[in-house]
Amino acid sequence: MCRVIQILFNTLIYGSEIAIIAVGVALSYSILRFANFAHVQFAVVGAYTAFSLHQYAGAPIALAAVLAALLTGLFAVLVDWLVFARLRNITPEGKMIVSWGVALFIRSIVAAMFGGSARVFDVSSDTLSIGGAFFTLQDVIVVAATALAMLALHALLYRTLAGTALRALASNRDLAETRGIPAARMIGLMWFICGTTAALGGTLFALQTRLQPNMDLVMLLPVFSAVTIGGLDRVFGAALGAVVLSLAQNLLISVDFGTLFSGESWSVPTQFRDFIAVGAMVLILLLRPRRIAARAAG
Amino acid sequence: MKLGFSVLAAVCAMVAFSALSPGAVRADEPPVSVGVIANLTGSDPKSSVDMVHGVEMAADALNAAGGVKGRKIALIVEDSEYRPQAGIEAATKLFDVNKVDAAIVFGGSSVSIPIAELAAPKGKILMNTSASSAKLGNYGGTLFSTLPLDDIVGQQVGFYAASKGAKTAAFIVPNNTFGTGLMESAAKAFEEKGGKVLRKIAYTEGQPDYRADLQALVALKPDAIISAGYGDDTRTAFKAARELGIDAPWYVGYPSIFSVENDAWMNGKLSGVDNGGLDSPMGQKLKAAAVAKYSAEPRPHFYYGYDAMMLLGLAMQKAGTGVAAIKAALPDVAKSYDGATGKIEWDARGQRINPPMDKFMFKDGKLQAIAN
Repeated sequence: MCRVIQILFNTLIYGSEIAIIAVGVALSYSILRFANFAHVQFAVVGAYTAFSLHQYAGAPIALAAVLAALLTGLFAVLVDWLVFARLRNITPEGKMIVSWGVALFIRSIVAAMFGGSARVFDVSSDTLSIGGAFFTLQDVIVVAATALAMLALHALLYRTLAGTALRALASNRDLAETRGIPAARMIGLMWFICGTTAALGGTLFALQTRLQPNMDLVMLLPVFSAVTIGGLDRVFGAALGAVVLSLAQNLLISVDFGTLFSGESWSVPTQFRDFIAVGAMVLILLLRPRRIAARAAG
Repeated sequence: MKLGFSVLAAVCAMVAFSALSPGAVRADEPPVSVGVIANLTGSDPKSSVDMVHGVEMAADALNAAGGVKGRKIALIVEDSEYRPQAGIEAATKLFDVNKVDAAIVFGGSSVSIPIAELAAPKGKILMNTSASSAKLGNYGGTLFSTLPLDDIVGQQVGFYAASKGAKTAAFIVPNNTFGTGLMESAAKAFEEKGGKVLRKIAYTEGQPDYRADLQALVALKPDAIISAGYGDDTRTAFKAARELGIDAPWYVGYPSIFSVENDAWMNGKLSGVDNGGLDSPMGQKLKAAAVAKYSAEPRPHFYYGYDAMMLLGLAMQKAGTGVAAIKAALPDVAKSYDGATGKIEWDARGQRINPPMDKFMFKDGKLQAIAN
């Protein structure tokens, strides 16, 4: 029972870290119809900004995280203005490749500014236990912050005019524009939301682990797997996808298959965690290829 | 004279082995070229440069004592950039263009093993001063090491954990040659002393969190955790253990390359075994000489480089400068050589056994030497 609770805790914690970043990928895909690889870099930029505000400017972590999220939101708008706004009419594949180039560029800038070695937030968290399963106060904060951000995003998309406009753009851009929705401004808002949520996710991820310019590579696969599982253009589907992926990963590496079948303890080595993400993506692409192609075509 | 002790040591050794008197270097004889492959650029150049300094200091001492068979030793230093390909290019140049019979190498196993692959069929000699993969033991007759390989250090870690009263242990190592190699030899040694290995965890390097990896240890409750690893990964592993409430002591190989995550939690909990012997009388004299010459305290590879050059020089002095003669003489001269890194004892492969080891414990925010 203790092990089951631990698996559920781990699922919730890791799922939260991925979900908050994944929703932005789905949101931008739903409106701009391309997989934005630069999105995960917003998480890295946000994490480093929060770190700088906390470490060098002395801002409390919560304030640093919020400020970093807002600044990264503006940074995302700037990236769109400098690059993607000029490429609206090229193919999705073209935009995707450009996004990879943008990601590499941002990573290089971060590495040049902060160096390649790891940095850690100087925070310590108490360990708590329920039913023999362990988690930390920081884990609770990560899950709670993600839940709050999701609620806020849901309220924005479903309870405001701007949200309705964004959903209309995602549903049928031509129709939305003919009905007078200011597409350019709404797309700017979308980039801001993407940058903000990714930055928050990046800060939470870095709080739990460590900061490195190449931390995007650690997040990239699970984030895109979660989006693929949840449905490329479904914002909250991506969040659900993150939880499903996290559950699959934690289940597979936590089950003692050896004891089940031979009496000798053996579990799947944890380095295979990422293969589960790849496997999930391949499965979804095999099982739902037409639907995904149809969405990609817009 | 700043090099007084090392020169004296070289002279004494030569007198013991030489059929010639340690007279002046003969001006008409061409020098004996010895290759040095070190990463003067790339990763960790400081340790590498210190190794070169150690080699230079030994060569100077040998030359001051009359050279080998009356010929001066001339060093040819090539940059490996800490890259296998650059290392191979450097070795190819030394062996094929400069025609050296022996090279002293600094670099990790990823650099040293390809160089050994190149040197073995050519019949050349390599003196390894830094790589520690147990796989280097496969190049017997070609590669001689002045530092102990991971299997030896791993064995010492296993014995150390058992000596501290641990009956059960779990292993946490990076999933690479270094980590798994050290784990296997430590596990063997630990079991040899009656210990039981509960779990072997080989984690993927560079991951943000190892909580899932360490999860199983919560239920297993090992008496000890035996580990190896580097920097950030070790800090992440410590954090995971702390957050999971795993309070077992950590016994590790090379504790100086670990990064402690939480000083208070780790206080007295981390101890381990590292290469030792650097505080030998000769080591102390060399340190003083190096500080005077290079204005900085040398890193450990300075001493391994010094011993490598000195052993080569002594072997040449004893048997001549032919490659077969040097190979045959190296094990013999090592037997009576009391080096900067302590007594050097080689097994049949040319790998160091029974090396002096030092033990350290993390206390009061830093690693402190403890009694052996």
